[in-house]
Amino acid sequence: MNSQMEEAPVQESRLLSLIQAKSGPLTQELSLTEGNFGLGKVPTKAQPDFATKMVCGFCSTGCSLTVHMKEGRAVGLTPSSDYPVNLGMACPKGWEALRVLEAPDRASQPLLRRSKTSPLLPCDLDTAMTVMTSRFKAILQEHGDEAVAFLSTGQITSEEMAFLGALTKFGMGLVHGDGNTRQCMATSVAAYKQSFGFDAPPYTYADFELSDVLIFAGSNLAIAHPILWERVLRNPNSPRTIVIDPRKTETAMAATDHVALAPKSDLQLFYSIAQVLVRMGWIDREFIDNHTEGFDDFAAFLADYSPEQTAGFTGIKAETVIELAKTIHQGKRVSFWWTMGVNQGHEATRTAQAIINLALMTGNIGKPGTGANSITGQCNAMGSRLFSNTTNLLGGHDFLNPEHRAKVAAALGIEVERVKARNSLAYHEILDRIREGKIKGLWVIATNTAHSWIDQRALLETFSKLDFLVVQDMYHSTETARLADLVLPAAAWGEKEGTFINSERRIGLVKKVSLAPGQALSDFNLFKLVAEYWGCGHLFRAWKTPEAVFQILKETTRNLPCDITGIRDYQMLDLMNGIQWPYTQKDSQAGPPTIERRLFADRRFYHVDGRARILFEKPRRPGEVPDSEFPYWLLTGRGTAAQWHTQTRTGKSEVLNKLSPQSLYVEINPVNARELGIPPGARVRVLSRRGSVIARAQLSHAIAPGQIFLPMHYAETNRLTFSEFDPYSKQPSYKACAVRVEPLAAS
Amino acid sequence: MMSPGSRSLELPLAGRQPAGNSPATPGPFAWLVEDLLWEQRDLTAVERFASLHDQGKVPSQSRYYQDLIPLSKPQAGQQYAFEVDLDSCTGCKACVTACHSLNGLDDRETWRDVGLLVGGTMEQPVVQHVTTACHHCLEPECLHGCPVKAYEKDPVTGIVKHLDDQCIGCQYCVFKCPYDVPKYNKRLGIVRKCDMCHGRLASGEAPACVQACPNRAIKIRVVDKRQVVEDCESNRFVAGAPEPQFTLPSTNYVGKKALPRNLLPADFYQVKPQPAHAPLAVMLVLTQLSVGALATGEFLGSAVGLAPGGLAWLISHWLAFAAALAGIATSVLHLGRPLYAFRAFLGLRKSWMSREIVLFAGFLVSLAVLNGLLVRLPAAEANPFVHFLIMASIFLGAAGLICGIMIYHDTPRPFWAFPRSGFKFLLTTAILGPAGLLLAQVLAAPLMSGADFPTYLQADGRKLLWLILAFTSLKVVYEVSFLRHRWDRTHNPLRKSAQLMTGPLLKVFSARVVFGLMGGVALPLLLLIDGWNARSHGALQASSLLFPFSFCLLLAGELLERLLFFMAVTPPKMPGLGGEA
Repeated sequence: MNSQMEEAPVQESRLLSLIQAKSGPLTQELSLTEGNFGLGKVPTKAQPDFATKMVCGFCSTGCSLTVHMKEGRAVGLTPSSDYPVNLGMACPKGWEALRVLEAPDRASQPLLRRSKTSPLLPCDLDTAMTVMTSRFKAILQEHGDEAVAFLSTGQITSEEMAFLGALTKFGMGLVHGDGNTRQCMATSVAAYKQSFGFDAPPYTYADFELSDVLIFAGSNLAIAHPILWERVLRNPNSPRTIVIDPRKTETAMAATDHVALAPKSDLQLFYSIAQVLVRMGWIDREFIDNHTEGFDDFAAFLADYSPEQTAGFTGIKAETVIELAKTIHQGKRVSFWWTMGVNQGHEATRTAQAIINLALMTGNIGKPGTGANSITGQCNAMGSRLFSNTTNLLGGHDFLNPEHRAKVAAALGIEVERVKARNSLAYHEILDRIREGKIKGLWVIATNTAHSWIDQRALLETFSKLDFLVVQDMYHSTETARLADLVLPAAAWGEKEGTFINSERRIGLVKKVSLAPGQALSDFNLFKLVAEYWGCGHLFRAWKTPEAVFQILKETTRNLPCDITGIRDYQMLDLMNGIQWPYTQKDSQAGPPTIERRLFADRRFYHVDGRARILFEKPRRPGEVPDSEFPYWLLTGRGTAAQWHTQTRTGKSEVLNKLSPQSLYVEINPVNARELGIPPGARVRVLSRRGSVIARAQLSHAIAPGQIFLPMHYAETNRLTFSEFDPYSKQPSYKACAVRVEPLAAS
Repeated sequence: MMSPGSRSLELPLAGRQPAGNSPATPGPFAWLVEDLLWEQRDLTAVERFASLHDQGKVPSQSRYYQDLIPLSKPQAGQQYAFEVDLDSCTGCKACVTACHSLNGLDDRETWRDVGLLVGGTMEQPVVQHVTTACHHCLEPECLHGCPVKAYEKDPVTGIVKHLDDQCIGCQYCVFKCPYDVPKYNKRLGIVRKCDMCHGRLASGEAPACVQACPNRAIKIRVVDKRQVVEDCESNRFVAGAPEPQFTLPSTNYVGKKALPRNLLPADFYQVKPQPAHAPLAVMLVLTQLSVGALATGEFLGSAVGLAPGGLAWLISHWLAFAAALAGIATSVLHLGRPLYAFRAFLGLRKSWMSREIVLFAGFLVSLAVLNGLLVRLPAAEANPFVHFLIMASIFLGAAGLICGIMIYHDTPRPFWAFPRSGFKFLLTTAILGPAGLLLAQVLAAPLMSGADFPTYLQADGRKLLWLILAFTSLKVVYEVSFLRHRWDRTHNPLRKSAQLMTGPLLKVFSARVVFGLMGGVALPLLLLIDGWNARSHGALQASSLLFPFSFCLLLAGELLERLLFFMAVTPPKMPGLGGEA
């Protein structure tokens, strides 16, 4: 029934309505109807007959979206009102999640390049599989088992990641494979592993609402994770919110305090804060003594990092640092949060650990509203950390540990010899090997390396050295797919089943609510096909459905910190609104999981001695700093909440496109713009030692003089970035390099 | 397909073709491919999960928005209004997508926008997002301008509703609204806009944007209209927004943070050509030609040797009719729903658009009857009724023309203010009128015995040439002199227009000037000089061809001027995004 009762036409004659029509077919276009299922009013044309919840497929926040189904197909969605993560809200990407599935450039059939010089032409799946397996086999035969590698993603389900990891390493016998999670989360993984003994973000989202002091380092939460910023705003304690970021980001703007430090001086700043805490005795001695290791060395090390000493480097006055330390000291529940500003740095792991140290020293961990908390990037970066079988052996194990190998082999029902005691190369090392001609074949799954990788020109050169490049993606138009020798058409989020793990370790369900185009298959089934064509299908007879694999994965986590053996099945995940790890079989006997759980309430960390490690290292300069030739720092980061990474998906929604500038812009301080003779809105050229881009100047005091900012969503940006990697996490340092800016003649 | 010398694929399976567009012999697992494709097409798996429950009448989302919407309906002197807390808006734009989804809008259609303001100082930089939709004004100019009464201001809620089925797609409301609110929908041929989700509000649900804002930055409040008027008197709305006195917008932007004076929209320095509205440009120029030819013939006819009843006289009236008909017919193409154009009389009381349409309709009818009589009646020039019709046509046409000026004057666009639009429209009339008469003479000449066009040009025609020359010079100088605004101290709308004409629209502008100077100055001058020179009458001899050419250039020049009139205007708007959004 049309609900707009008040608009029902009063008996008007036909003639009258010809002259003055208050209703009719055009009005009906926008009519609303009771949506049922507690949805409120929805457009009449999309009235659902079934409604089901599933986790969003963009970022790691892991919001739940209620998908409106009509006659078996998704016709709309709304954020789920009662999901503990997003509490009825979603960012624009989530709202448009179904729309981007309909794009005309969806990969709907395999595309094959018959020779390096010929175009990509359609072929059938049978041909594609035959060619792919034979080409890879030929390369392996000729060049050995290290000559074919894969680059995976944080965007597919855990079950798919596990399938890919197991297929490549245990079935095909590959050694090297890494994920694009290297670009976003590797630092947190390395930092947590070393500090806590396991890769374990300790928090739950409720902590945003329970703190009285929240410190955000290198995190533009309001834009990158808008729904988590919602949680901050729901905090009833009128908390101090302190943003540490060189740029006045949207989050810095909304926070109570902004500490605008010099680029790449974060490690020094955190050490100076620690120095003040120690000097003033604002530390939790009892906690340090009983639950940590290495504090005394750290305290001694800090002698050289008084705020007075670091001020020249960080640009932050000693009083500000002391005030900051005092705020931490006075806070009853202090939480520390970081994102890419920390993770993507040349000394990122130590920086993340400097933050962890602050939480440990002040006892701000394991209690409500506290923690040293990394906010992840991609929807299933956390799943990748456990189940991608790249850096870690399946389930969060160690390839070099014979017991772990035996355990995983047993859980999978395969011979233990298939689990090689060899660690994979990291992303950039794989690329190095390609450049050296040692890796000849590459399989890229659901990531857009040709856009996202640092120092793009070098990357493109590297890719041109490959003998055979397979790209498996939902779009055939990505910068990377266009370089491929073979494109495999993948079904997308919403067209398949599986689970994601979000930043607070909550495992959520993805359901199949929409039809994939043409011959596109779920990544899961593409892996199944590859296994059969490769000849190792027998290893995966039990891997019938994603849910069957979920049961296997559960088993691999047994007795680990991430033990999820208590989760019965998908139905339980659905009913419980997602379940955070750990949830052991024993836990499940005690009852259903509570909604919000954090780690370390028992103050026991995962090192054998139960103590957390306090780790530190002398800060060093980044590999490239501004000089007379390239006098500006280039900062990069998220542009708007409407854009996601390389825009392969968000670029497909006309509405999202309206919400962000359609071509590259550069933020530059008005003072610098004046010096350079750049009027507002003018086109400028930005050059680094590696390349140049043209962008429109956006003058803003939000960016400090001597720095410029480019959003990362435009393919050009990475022409400028500088290849440097954190030595522990091997994560690229996207956030700083040296550039020059030149005005262009009037356009 | 295969390029010689390139690396070809070696396939291990005997008998298999290399990649091709058609499958050869199926591989050993072709059955599995089929199975998996079949499985992919099956969407029933989701049904094993329970559907959400129907939780009765109260939407589950209501717990978040209950306190964001009013408990009671507005009383007399009150209405609903948006309230936006600027401190809470971080620019996530969920409101835009939620509005888009929950209202079932078309792909590119958005009723809400989020803009960006930047400013502050080095020590205290400010980045402020502004979410904006329809302001449900106290004086909705969209409503006042609508020729077909397709807008209503709800007497109780104050919501400005658009009646989609009443709309004829003239888009005048788009010109009228200072906030860029009504959005034209090409598919439907109508304008649509935010209705504050009145259907939702009526049943106790919050509008889509209010429901969806993670930061609770958008609320619906009951406001006192008197207060809105007072607030608008202060001439402040929100930084970077057009002045509020024109329409009295009801939205209230609040926030605790003091915003600095230098806040500017991120798109402040961007200039973008606007739609050309070619049918409107054609209509304006041709109706002005028509009125000009009629009036010049009637009032100057005897001075320029236009004998009433003569063939040239007759042709000038046919020409006026043809131009009016062509212009008005073309203008119909501008409408999204031309079939309903007859509704245009409804807005006579307030809408200049409505008045123009009605007057031009009368103009056209009057001209049609007139020309009918001219053809049928012998010695029609002496018939008093014919004379009455001529005067009536001139009156209706001139009145329509003035309404046309008022249409554009009555928008918040200074480029279209009366002096500018009026000057252009009247001079077009003054240029094309004499030119039309001369054209009538050219057309008449071959059919008349004893008179030829070169002779006419040497005698009475000179006066018309002088008129064309003088008015065209004046108009081109005026238009070129407008470019001085490029050096205005403030970045005002006129400066932006000048920037457009010297930037992205430079080619159009140059062509306009060249055409004007050629057709209205150089060629008439050539003909005049030639007339002085008694020995060689080269140009004059060719004038029967030369003048029509000159006329075409003039007409094209005026058309280009009118396209620029639309393309170079800078409409006011709420703050937008940076870059080339």
